[in-house]
Amino acid sequence: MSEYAVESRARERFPLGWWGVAMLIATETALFGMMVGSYIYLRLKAPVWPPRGIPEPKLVVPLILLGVLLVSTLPMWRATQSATPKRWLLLALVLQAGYFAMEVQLYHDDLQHFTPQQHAYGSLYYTLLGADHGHVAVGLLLNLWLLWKLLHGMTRYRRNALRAIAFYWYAVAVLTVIVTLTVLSPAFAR
Amino acid sequence: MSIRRLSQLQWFGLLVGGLTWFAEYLAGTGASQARCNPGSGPWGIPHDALQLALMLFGVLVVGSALVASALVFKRTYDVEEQAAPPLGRIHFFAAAATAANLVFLIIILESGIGTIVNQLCHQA
Amino acid sequence: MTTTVTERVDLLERQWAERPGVLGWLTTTDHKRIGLLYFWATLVFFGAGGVEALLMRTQLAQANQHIVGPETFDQLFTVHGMTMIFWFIIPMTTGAFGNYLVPIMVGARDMAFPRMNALSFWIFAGSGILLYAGMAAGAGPDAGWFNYVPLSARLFDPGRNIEIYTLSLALNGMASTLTSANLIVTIFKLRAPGMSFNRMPLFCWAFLAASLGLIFALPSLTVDLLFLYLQRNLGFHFFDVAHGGSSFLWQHLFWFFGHPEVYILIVPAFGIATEIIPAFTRRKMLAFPLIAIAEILVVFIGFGVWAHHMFATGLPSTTLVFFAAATSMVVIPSTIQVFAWSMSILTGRPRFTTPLLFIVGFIVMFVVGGLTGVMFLAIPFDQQVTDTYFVIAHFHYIIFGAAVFPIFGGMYYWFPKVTGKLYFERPGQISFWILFVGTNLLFFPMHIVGLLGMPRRVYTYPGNVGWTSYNLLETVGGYITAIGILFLFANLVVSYLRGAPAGPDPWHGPTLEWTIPSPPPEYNFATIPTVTSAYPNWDGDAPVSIALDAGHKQHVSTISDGWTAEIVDMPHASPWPILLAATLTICFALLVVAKFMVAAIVLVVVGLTLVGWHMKEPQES
Repeated sequence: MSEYAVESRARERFPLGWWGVAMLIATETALFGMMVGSYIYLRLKAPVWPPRGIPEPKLVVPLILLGVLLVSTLPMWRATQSATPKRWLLLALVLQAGYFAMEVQLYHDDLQHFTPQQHAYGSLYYTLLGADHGHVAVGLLLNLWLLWKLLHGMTRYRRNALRAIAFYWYAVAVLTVIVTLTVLSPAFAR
Repeated sequence: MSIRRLSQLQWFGLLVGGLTWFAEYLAGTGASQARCNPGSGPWGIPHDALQLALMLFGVLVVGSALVASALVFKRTYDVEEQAAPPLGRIHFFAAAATAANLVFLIIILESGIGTIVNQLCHQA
Repeated sequence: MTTTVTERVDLLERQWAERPGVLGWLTTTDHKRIGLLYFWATLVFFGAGGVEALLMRTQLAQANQHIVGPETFDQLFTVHGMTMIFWFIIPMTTGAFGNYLVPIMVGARDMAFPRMNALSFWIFAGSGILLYAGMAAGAGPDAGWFNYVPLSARLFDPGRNIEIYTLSLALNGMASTLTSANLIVTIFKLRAPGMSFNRMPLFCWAFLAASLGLIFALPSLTVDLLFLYLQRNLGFHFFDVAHGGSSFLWQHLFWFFGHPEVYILIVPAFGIATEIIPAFTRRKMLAFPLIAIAEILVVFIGFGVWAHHMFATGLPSTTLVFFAAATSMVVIPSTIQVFAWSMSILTGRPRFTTPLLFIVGFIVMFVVGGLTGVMFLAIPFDQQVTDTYFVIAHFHYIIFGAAVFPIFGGMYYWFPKVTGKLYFERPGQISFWILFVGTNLLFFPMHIVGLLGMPRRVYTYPGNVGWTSYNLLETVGGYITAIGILFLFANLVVSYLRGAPAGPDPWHGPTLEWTIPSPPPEYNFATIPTVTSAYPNWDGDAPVSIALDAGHKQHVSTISDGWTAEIVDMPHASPWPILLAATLTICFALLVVAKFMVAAIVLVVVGLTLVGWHMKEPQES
């Protein structure tokens, strides 16, 4: 029994939850921006980077993995458009989980060669990567939660959640590109 | 000019000027720091040229944002401050952006000229 | 079949009713209740910060005193600074004034994310408990509010003091980030029909500017705190030169946050001023678009001036000129606002009631503080007065004058709306004058004693250098200020108990809060108004309005032009915010003592709480 006397001119269809995630992405972008800025700042101050005794980063495997993460945004996007999102979400989750598992392995392998306690180079390398992997881990948990919710059917709320979480993943993918290129930069930009 | 075009110019004037100034500013301070630190050696770009290029880029982009917002302001001069959207909103943001872009332009000129004239890598 | 007005209001009262008792307050998601929770909590911290200040002033009243020793004094000035900035001004402006008033001023029934709103309050409360528990345990932060390395590194500060600093601030920053996100989305999306950006009150423009500033500035502080925590507790290297780090990195990251922060402190107060002036000068604000953009611009350009706090650190001149240039122009938006306020008062028909007196006092003190700020932009002058009392004078004129005075003015202005009672005017004016005299006596001599060379952060000084009489004057001023504050609050308490009924609109104020009852009902608006200007209460009755009486509903608008986009269902009271905040605070407390495994387990509990939070879904319409 409500009256809607004002003409509705809905020109934007991003739900409030999407805007909440947009605010999160804004802060996290600034966060990574400051960490990348710190990396550049300390690199400029160092005569040799990485310092002697610490190996240059390898390029091939990290860049392939980056490609996998970027590819995983496609099924995420497809899920937001699809009437049957669960399969696309599952595909994305498999790619993302595979990426994450490999990255954890690489992180562990790197620690056998140099540690964050040796030099600021290592401190920044492991902090930047650790922060990025942390954001991927949160994304994985979000996807698992969403899958569990979708097992009980689709509602408008769950559709909005799907769009919001997909947006989160696009942002994580972009941030991961920036972080990866930063930590790999000694290998291609001397 | 159609309302759609006015709106586009208004958003250009409002958003592009500030964002460009900030990016150019960070690049300029970063470049000045790089010049005065060991890590910048291999790049070899002369400081003056880089800062001049950044300043000119800033002047160009912020200048066009200023022109865009001033143009929209002039075209909507008769629109009341509290008028209904979209024209009211367009006029409001055009006025705001004209003032803002002027300030950004002055900072770009001051800092660009300053860093070219004063090249000391230590404190005076 | 249409419902009658009475039936509609009854339905709304039932659907929006708050739970009774203490449980109702602990689980509330109503923006007005959360605003009040912030109000009282911040006043407690204001009191604590004030006691810290008085202790310092008492210690410094005479030369060579030993009322408090140097280590205690270090904690006093550090915690005073932290408390006043992070636990008083920011939460009082964004948390109390922002939460209570912004939704009403934009024509909404609540903030965009009511449960997240409650969460931000409880996290804020947890962060304050963490800080003061640390201080009570003798581990209060003691390296200054900007906590420079290497003083704050483990070598020179081996206890847990700096962990209290990093972790309580990080937790506080989370609360501020959540509030800012909420304010931005509320301002963007929950405006009443017809409220395009040019018709949004300047108060809301100010809070938008401050919130955007916090969203982009706080991460810089967070990174700094994270780096310091990792360096101190896990042996990482960010700030020590011997291992490729730099002490400057701390300063750059800190001030990249810290400078926008100081504009964030005063911009909401500007917003308060731009509402009080029209109400008591009975004219609209001059230069409306310029004031709106000035509020955004001062924060935005403020992101580019951070190294003016580092003019004496030995940075290259070729870098410093950027900061001198930006600092020279960041003055412009503030100047525009000062002219607009002053001209609006001079060309209006002013009634110098208590709120307007506080605003006039604010303008005077802001101009003094602004002038000394402009002096700092001259690098050679800055190098002479860095780390002296001249700096303390400058920022206290700005913070007390430009942030606290409008807060006091705002307390008086909105007192009738929040309580439904009128305050007593005469005592109100007296409280203003006591405060004006007290703060000027307290802070003005600091300019002189700073130019005479007295450094900041000293717990005592020799008696033969000519500083003693200025210090004594300042202490007297401090006590007068304290008396003024106590008198002000006594007046508000007595007014609450004995004041005359205020009615909905005692001032004939311009904005939407004056169109609803005092105090406002839980649902704010019985019908969602349409607006045709930024002064809707001066425009007369809204042409149309939306009923929205079925369920717990909220109108959502498009961003720039305020057209209706959709109607959404809003959450009711919930226990999850306080539960989540409690577990998060425990997690941070465990990190203070480096109990990483237990903290990780608690973090899992935090995650489960989040899942519980999202079990209940909004009703489909």
